[in-house]
Amino acid sequence: MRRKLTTIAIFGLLLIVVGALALAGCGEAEEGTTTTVAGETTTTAGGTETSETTATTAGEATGEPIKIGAVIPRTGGLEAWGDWIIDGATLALEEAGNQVAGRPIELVVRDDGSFDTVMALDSARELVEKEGVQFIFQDLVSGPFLAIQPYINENKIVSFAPDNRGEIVEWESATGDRYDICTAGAMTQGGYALGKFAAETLGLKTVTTLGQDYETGYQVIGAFVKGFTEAGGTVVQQQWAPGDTADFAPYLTGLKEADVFVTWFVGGGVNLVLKQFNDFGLYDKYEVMVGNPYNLEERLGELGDWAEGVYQASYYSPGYDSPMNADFVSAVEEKFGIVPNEMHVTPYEAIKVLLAAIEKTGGDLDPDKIRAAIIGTEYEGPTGKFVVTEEGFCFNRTQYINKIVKGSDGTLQWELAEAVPDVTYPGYFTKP
Amino acid sequence: MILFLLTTGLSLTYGLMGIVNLSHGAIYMLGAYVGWTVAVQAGLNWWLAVICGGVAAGLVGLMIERGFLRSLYKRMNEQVMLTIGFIYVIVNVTQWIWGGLERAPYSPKIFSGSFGLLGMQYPIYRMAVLGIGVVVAVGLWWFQERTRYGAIVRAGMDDQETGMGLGINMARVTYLVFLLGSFLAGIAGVIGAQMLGADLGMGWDILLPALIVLVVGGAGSIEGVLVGAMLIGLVDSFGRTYVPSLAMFFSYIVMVIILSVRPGGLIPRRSGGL
Repeated sequence: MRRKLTTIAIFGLLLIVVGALALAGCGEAEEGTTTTVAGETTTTAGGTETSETTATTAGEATGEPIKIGAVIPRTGGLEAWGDWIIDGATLALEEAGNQVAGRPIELVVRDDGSFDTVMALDSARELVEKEGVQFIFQDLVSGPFLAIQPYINENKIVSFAPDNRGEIVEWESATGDRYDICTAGAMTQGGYALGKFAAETLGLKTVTTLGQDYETGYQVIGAFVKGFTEAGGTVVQQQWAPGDTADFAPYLTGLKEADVFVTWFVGGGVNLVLKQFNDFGLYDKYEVMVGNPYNLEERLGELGDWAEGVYQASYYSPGYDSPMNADFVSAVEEKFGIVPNEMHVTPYEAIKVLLAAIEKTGGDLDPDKIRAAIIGTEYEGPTGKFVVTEEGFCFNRTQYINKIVKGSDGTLQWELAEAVPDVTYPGYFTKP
Repeated sequence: MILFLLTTGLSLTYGLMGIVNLSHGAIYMLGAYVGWTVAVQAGLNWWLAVICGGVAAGLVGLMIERGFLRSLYKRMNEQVMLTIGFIYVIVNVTQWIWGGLERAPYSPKIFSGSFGLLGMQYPIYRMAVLGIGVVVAVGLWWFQERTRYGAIVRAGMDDQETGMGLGINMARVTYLVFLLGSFLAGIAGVIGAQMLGADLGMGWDILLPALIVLVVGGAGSIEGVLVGAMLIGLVDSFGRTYVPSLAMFFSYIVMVIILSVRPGGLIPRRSGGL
């Protein structure tokens, strides 16, 4: 009896603790949650499926809906990025009244588990064979992308990258007839522009790098080094750390003297590097630059004043001065309570490109006609003007150099330092 | 030191109960998130965050032991499957509550900054982690070697049945040890978050190194875990820096060498009377 009471008491206490934690975390958990007009999350055996559909505009669009599928993170470490992708796509669809060429549009989302190639392919199959989608947003990361790319191209599904591509070799190694489109370009373009900026604009002469020992790390750091050395700079040291490195002390204590420190790690790794960089009192000794740290934007509030002055390059800047971008930033801030980042803008622009192509074909969804309508056409979005080339890629894009500054309200913010137009694809880089 | 704090709990539960609690890493992760909520989101005292992280982790560990593991005594396969399952449960509940975004490292102002030594700057919080680890190590050693309750725990590790025959309530001892072990994992999470932040994968990342430390140091031995943690931590860090292509093998190579020479670990626990 006593044992039973103890067990009941412990379970009761645990319920109270979990409930209290849930209440405490409620505000945090709601941030970034997609606003859907109609939809629910269902869990079935074998995985989690998220079905989120936008409502159609009553009285204007008729007929069979045009379905856009998305195979993106809904679980796993990149779930928040999946939220942003849905937000950006949803905003573009709502601005179009959820219709094109007189037909309603539906966005159907499936999970790729962030890095799960099997789940990604299962989701792609379900979207194509069960849901009958005509277009797809591809995976964020290269493993799932390479898993589904042959399948969706074989089925002639025009697909869009939700972000820029880190490993261009994955793009070039894709097989079969190509229906995949990347409106965001390559991550190397940002690294290259940042390298040139460091040498030409800031006049920095020497660089030491610390990158993730991984394909995208080689690309971003390699591109920076190319831009930097072409502009007259010198590389004094290059270090590479495994992606699961938690303690960067051995690398940071071994840094050589240089004008600038450049780093790139996927996800939260860059935060660890920067924090530990500050902990070792190194900020006063180097100019600090990073690759495309999406997560840094969401974590500016958690970074200390030490993060002021960090540079970053991206194909998007919330500070880019254009009426279109100003409207976009306002819309995202108002609707989602967040400053937009690449994950918002890329699906937003991709949807706009797709809708324009459908209008151009007069509502004909034939994939070859849609693709032909996209290629070579100049578009303008919150990122500026861009053209999708014959390869389905944007090899010339404006890159924005952003800097962390302290705003008038005392919080850390991004400020546009320089816009570098027509940055070409700098090439493929291997580990030196 | 973070590895030591985490593995000590694992060592106590394995040494006393023979249970390898693979959800220990997930409990450590939960402690980090609870600590973040208290210290960053609520802006409260960091030491309070440490206690809250430990308590939350301890209660979850206790729930797992009381509700599930106690009926799987000496059933290793079922224990492994169950505790692996709990990893997924804890990670998913954590994601449900806190979302998928990683949390930046957080440390109290008192530990911020660095000090100069031999021409290098060293973060103050790293010294603090070292100091906390030493205090915990000494405290645990004193508890286990110099107190009556520690003697009871050691007796349970040697021979549970005899202990019960002597009138010791071993069931209470085992769940209190489980509570203590999980509590230590939770505070390790908060203390480690100064350097590592909090993310959903941190439990998985540290689980294997913790198991290696457990084996290398010697189960049930505080001194062994301390030495094992320092050795594996240094080997891993320097291996990654100087031979990154072989970084993932170094810890295992060390483990194989040590077990070949000393199968019970570096400093195995001395079994014997009270």
